[in-house]
Amino acid sequence: MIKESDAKLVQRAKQGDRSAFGKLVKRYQNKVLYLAYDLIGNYIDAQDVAQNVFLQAFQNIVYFRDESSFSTWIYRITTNAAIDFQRSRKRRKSVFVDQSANQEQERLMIENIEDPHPGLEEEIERRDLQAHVARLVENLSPQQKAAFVLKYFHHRTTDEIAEIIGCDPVTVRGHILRATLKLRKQLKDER
Amino acid sequence: MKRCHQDFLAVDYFFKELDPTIQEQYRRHLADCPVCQSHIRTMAETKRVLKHHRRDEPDRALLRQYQFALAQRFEMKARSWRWFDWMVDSWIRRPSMAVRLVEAIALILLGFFIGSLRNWLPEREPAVQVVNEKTDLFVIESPLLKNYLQQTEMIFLDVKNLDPVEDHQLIINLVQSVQYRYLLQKSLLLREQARELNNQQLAELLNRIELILLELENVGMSGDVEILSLVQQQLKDTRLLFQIKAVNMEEI
Repeated sequence: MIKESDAKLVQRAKQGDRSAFGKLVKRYQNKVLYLAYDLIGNYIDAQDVAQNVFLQAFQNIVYFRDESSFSTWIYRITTNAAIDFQRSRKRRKSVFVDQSANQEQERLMIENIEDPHPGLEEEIERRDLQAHVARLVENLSPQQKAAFVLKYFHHRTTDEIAEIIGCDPVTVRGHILRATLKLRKQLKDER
Repeated sequence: MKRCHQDFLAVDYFFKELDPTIQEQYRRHLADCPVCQSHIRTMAETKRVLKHHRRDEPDRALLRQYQFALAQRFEMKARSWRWFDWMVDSWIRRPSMAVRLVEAIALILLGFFIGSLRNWLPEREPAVQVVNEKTDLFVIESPLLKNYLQQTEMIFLDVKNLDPVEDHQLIINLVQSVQYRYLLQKSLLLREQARELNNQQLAELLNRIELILLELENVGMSGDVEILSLVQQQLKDTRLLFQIKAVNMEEI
């Protein structure tokens, strides 16, 4: 079966076809969730943010102009929603989310220790690296973090990132470069 | 570290997003610029480190919950089903007065249409009498008669040739075949038709066939071998089988 293009589905969704929007949701639900997770750092909040992203997209689909692709548009909504969520979390100065994420990580670690299997050491090393990278990325500014994550984890082009985070491509290059140098410096300092 | 006014191009160069002309220019610049070289090295190293970085997969239950919530909220079911639901709802479950009126008119029109179909159906051909040259018998040219005579001929041939003592199963099968094919009822019907057309000879032939069929049914019920032997004798003595055969041959 030929896959219907995003543009056609968007067109139908604009005319009020809910099932067309449903198909778009199905197509992007994991990508949006992963981007939200990369920016927020835990799946519990990421899935809340992702659900709000689709709700927002549904409410505003009529205003979507075909100047950019739907994927760029949905990434833009996700990035903005994740940045807003982090700002509000900082304002609340709450740590329960991180705790729940850490608890989840701990649970998985304990499970691995209780039920050892081949490759456990590699798994722990991988988890260390993940935690390390997540901690380093957490220290970046929201814009830098978004640019870095979209470039290295989601493989978007500079122009697409510029559209997603709503700034000039030159600024995006600056964000990516500064974020990379900052990470490198932190890694060196820790060593 | 010194600064370079072209260092922002390092990102696009490293990720191969530069225009070919600018890429060539930048490559020449890169050869002499330690700052840009350092940036490229840093990005390569970062990419190498991140290559081993795999994000945690979400908990399965959480993922299912998330996908279910989205599916519920945005009704991810086929449009055709929603259309079908709407049709059932508005035409059958909760029709408005206007819809009911339309349905009533449609039913009346459908009735008229089915009634008018009768006029288009081909009329049944009337039974026609022809003379069978071999038997000098006036035979009604009808598919029912043809079929009936072929079936009785086959059954009578089997009856004539079977062993009354040993072929018990075959007798049962033949009797069942007579019942299954409604041969007795057909005999009555065809005889009536022959009488209506004033064809006494054919009526007589059908009468004789009917009598033998009745005898066969008796054999089936009683299992009396003597009756069967009598039937066989009758078939041998009379020219009944020959007459049926002759009519059938003529028809074929």
